[in-house]
Amino acid sequence: MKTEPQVQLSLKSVSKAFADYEGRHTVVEDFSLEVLNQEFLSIFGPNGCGKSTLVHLIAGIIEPDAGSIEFASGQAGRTVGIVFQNYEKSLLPWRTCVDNISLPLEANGDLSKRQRREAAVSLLAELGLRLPLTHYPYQMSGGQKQLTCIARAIIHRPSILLLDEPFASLDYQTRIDMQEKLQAIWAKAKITTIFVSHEIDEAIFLADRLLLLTVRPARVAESFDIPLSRPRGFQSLASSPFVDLRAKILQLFRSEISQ
Amino acid sequence: MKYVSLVGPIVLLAIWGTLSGFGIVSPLILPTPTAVGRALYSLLISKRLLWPDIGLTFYRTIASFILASMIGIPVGLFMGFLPLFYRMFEFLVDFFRSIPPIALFPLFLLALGFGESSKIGVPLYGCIVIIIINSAYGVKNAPALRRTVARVYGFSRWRVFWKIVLPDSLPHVFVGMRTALSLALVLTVVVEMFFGSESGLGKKIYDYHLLFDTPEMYAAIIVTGIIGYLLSKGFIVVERFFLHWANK
Repeated sequence: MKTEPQVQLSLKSVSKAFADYEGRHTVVEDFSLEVLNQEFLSIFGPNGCGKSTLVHLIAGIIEPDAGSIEFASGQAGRTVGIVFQNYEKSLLPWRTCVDNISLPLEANGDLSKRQRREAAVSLLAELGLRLPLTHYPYQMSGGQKQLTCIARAIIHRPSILLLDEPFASLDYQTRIDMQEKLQAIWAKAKITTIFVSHEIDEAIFLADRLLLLTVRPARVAESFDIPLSRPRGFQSLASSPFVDLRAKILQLFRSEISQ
Repeated sequence: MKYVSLVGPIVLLAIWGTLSGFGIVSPLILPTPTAVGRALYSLLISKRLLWPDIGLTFYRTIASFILASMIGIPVGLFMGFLPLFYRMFEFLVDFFRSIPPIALFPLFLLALGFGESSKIGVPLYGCIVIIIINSAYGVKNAPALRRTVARVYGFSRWRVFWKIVLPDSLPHVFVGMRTALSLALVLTVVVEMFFGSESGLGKKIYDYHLLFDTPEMYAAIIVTGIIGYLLSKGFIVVERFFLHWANK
């Protein structure tokens, strides 16, 4: 059964500039984007093009200078889950894994500690994740820490999940493992996801759609639908649609950065 | 290798024993280790003369340290958390930090009289400044990312403070407290020595010195050292319990 895709998030003519000692830099200019419900959108672009600024704008960490960011659920329903590259500085080192995951449920103090822990345990069961619940971050591996961050980002059932280069600090082996785990989590949680990456293979591998951004100020250079069927296995990285698409994106990317 | 840490003390005792035992240094300045041992035994075990002083010095050190923590930690945390508050009081804290606490003792005597409060006042003052500075520093230097995360999840400003900023600043708060604890003992002993105290280890060290009871003076110094050592070891145990997660 196929339902009509709904727009979950729309950015309309969003602009953002920052000032520093060199003057004012426009990082995002007249940026428009629609993200569909339950879509997995990868954002790929040159270094410093404003990918992270976009994530911060959508998360509400910073406000746009112009334009609007609208959620289907309305402003009141603007709930966001966010995962940063730096899991060390993002997790609370004084809390165990389970108490890190349940952090967003503490925002208004409605739930008891026990209820929050139960929610975390049932979320992990739902996602099929195994994490050392009573361990502190310093007792966990990099992959486990980033999975903790991902679980934390969806425990409050946000309307959108933002992943800002989440695997950039992980070693290659862990990274590949995490890509498959993230795919499974996304499939089970059915959550609209924006994934920022500077690694082309994982950006394609995970996405329904990939946006290639221009150099700063960021605009959409091109939007690619990823035609690979799901669930995607490791072998899909070698399939001809993947390889063709990758070549096409990289060619555009190269012409973009050489401008 | 288990007993390797005993080498240092044994070497020290050997040098001390040689210098005093062969009369190289006058016993008025350096009595033999056995004389000091006898004095220790007499003061602590047979005559038990030193215990009231130990109790008082310990009480003054701990009381000033705890009071300083109770005042200094909240003030420091707020200063770090509220930049405006910090800018308003930064100069004052820096200025008062530059005044040696002992210089204020006559003022404390005038204001608080000869009782316990003026004796606790000096170490209290010295400790508060250190604790305020370190607590404020802890807040200002905590990674901003955790606060950002909590804000994204809808935490109010004060909930961010309690749940994120406070625990994040604890490692620095403890650095300040550890420094303050050693300083509290130092200042307590100095005040006891020179400012009309009736008792306390500082007073006893000074009295033995005036009476040329050098072995007893050494004994009291050693006891003071042991108190300082035990305080800092005890503090490390507390710190490990609360901050097992820090610096890993």
